[in-house]
Amino acid sequence: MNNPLIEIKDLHVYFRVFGGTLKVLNGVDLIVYPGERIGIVGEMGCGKTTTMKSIMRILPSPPAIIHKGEILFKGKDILKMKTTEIQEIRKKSISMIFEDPTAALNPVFTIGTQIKDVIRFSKQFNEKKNKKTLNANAIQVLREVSLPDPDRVLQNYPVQLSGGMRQRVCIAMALVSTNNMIIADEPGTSLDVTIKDQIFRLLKELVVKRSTAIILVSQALGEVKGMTDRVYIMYAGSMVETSDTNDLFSKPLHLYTKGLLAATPRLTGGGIGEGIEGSIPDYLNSPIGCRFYPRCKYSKPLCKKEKPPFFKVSKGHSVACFLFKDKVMKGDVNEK
Amino acid sequence: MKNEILIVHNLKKYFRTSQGIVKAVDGINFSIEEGETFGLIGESGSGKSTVAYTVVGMYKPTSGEILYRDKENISINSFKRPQRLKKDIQIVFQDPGTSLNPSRTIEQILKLPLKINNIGRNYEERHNKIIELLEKVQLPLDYLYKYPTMLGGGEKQIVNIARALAANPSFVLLDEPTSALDVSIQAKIINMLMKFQKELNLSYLFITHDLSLMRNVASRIAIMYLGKICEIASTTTFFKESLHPYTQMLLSSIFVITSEEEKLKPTQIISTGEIPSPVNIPPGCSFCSRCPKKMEICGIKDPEMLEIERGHVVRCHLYSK
Amino acid sequence: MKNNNINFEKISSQRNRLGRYWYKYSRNPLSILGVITIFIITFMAVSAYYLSPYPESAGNYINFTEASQPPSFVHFCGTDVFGRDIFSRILFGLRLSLLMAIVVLSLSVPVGVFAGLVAGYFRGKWISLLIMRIVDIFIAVPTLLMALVVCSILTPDVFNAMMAVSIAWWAWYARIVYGVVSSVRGEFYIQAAEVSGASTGHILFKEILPNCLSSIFTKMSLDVGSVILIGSSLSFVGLGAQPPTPDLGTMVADGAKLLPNQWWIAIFPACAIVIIVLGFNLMGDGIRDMLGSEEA
Repeated sequence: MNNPLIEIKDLHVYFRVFGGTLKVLNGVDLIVYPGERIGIVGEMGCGKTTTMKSIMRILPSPPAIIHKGEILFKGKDILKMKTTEIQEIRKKSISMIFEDPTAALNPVFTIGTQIKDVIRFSKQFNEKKNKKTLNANAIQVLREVSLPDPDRVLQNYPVQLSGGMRQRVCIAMALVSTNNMIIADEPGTSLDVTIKDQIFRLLKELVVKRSTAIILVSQALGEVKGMTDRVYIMYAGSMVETSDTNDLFSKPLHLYTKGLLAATPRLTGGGIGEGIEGSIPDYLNSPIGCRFYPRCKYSKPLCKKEKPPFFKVSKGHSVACFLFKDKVMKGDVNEK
Repeated sequence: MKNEILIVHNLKKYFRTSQGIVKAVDGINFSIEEGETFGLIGESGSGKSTVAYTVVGMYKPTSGEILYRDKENISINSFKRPQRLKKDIQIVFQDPGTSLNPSRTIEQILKLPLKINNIGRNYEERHNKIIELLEKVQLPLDYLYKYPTMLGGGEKQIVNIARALAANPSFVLLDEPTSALDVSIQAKIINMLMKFQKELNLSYLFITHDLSLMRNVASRIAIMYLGKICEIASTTTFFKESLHPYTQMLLSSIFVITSEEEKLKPTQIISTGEIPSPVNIPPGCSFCSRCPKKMEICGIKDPEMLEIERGHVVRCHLYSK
Repeated sequence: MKNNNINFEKISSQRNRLGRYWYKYSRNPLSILGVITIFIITFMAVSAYYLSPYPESAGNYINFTEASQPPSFVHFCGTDVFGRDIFSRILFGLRLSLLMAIVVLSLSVPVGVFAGLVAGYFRGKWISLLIMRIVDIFIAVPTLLMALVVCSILTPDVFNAMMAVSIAWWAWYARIVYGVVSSVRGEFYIQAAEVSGASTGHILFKEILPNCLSSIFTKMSLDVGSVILIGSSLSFVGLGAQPPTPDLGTMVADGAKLLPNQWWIAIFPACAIVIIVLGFNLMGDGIRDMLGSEEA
């Protein structure tokens, strides 16, 4: 297989606060190949946004400390790069779409100003940068995200647009010069259902057309189902399961994944499954060993002492759980 | 025939803003039976929260009536309502972050409804009642002296529910109680709400935009768009034989995780267009700008609510004959 | 027993909260300096009688043999034209300044806060408009000017000076609280209390007021310095403390005429004023940082 685009190896990120250190990420492993569509599903507080911000190097550095680990972009460690190199990456290779499009757009500048700024700094369009070409480029960019009446939108301020339109503008800005990867951090959370559907379809269409890789971060399993090829399930600071998307839904292995699936309300009815007992661990006094241990019905003493590594159970499907330590016991472990 | 605990008749709530009159709720009719969970679905601008706030008394209706237990007209601001009504009708707000006073401890927050409604004759009794409440909602007792900022989102919402239940109400409005929460906490809270409903014979008006959640919670559902109700039906009918084009558009937009669910989604209607601003609603049916089945009459005349069969009403010209 | 455990939780949770406040406060070394300065000054003021080497200098004392002595080991800050020890007079003067700050704030803050609460809660109604227009009037007149006018109408003495400054001061608190209340008013937890049937008094004092406290305390600590300065200004022009009561402003006024020859008579009291005001300002900044970021 070709070389990975992004490879996160054993990333540990801590935050220094009153009362100690929040050990949020304790060993994140992630691989994205060029053109791949990856989903990361995890609940609030599991560290998905922290991981994504680490890739973009936009974590606020006094409270955040990168304790250990590497993030390799095309083989080079992002965490050790100089500011100028990172800026090049942000300009040309990776960009990010945030959860709240209202907060991501500057309210005192028009959409036109903001998009033209991005275009100017991107050096994507190689023509001379005078007013007319900038304007034409901006309109072209807005057309690509199916914004009706781009001329008018350029003159508007963010507050005059609806939530869905703002998110389209953010996607447009992210796609201006990005060649390699987009990180979409819960892009549909603040949107209405029908608008969210449109945005996701747009995003899928665009990344497929340009063969850009995408990391889609979400709290809901349903959102990643149609959009991604591979999914990671994240819990309390590390990945607990990864597989091809369809396999995850048909054959979930980790108990957390199963709990999430059971708790998701179904359109077919039948009541909602029980939630998962317990809550996420306290990052201030995080236990060594598997962080899911206190909530796990099938835990063993080993789970308390050691953090489980990934065990490959079948092609493309790995799970970080000692129950699957012997690859032979592929499907029967769950029944006890 | 079961008693109807709430009857809403031609309710309207308009707001005057600098851009014009916003018709947040524009003539809706529905009723809720005692002990049932009535669902209200809608996207932003639909007016569903305004309905809840008007029923609970935060707003005074512009016109229309709200009848409580078939006899009392409660279409008045809560300041004018008698205390026993305020005790009987409670609300749980959507955002757990802003519905708890950050300067008060959990104990103080839970004590307030007890004090106002004279539950418990002295400090000791009230303290015991609060402990009982915490045990009922499965929160650890040491949370009594914590401040809301020390709690997670799910726990805050559980405190909100405990506060609503502290006064022994009969009718609880749940305005998107789990929208800001994780799926696993949502499951826990919804199961808790269902349990309490059975135990205490509560009636719920459940508002959400999550159709999959509504499927498992409500017995009857109303769908709102720009201040008007488009369709009301029992849950099974709603998901199997919906009639209104907006209902079908909404159903086709949701994200599902199994193939059985995919089969339930109507595929012929794909979501298009934006939700228009509620300030200047064009004449005719409010949905016609996005409706794939629009006819000429839709742009001229607003359709009437028609009863297709018992318990199933829809407001659409497609069924007008 | 259950109750014992819960009480323990109550105490430890409050201790935890204080601990967090101190952590935030102590991030800035200047704030620590402010607190230390205030401690020292307060200690000196409270024990002025015991600390001062020549307590009689605070009263009617004349000793021309010791008059106008420059600073020495015998008189740390020298003596003034009457032979009174300036260091002792500064200690007693500190007392007066701090007392003035306490009295003025004790009078003006409750009145201002109450007015702000009512005006903010009943925003849009006539009572709110009335209160805020009165507030506007009081704010429009410069504090010192108003205090001067009041003092010159009444007999000039310390008590009247305090009254005058209090009258000028309450309006600022009304305005600050009005701002906070207006924003807090629409929050869901206030609506929840209203629809549950809580009385207006409960909502104003138990729900809304606690959220205003951080702004109020911040302003109070920054105000101490300003009140002391205004008090000193009034004494400087002769409208505050009357001789022989030692007051920092009066001492500066008396010594100003003798500059630059007997410089110590004016400079040391002036330094004392600067140190107090600086100390309270640093502490006030620290309190603002500590309480302002109390979001999480």
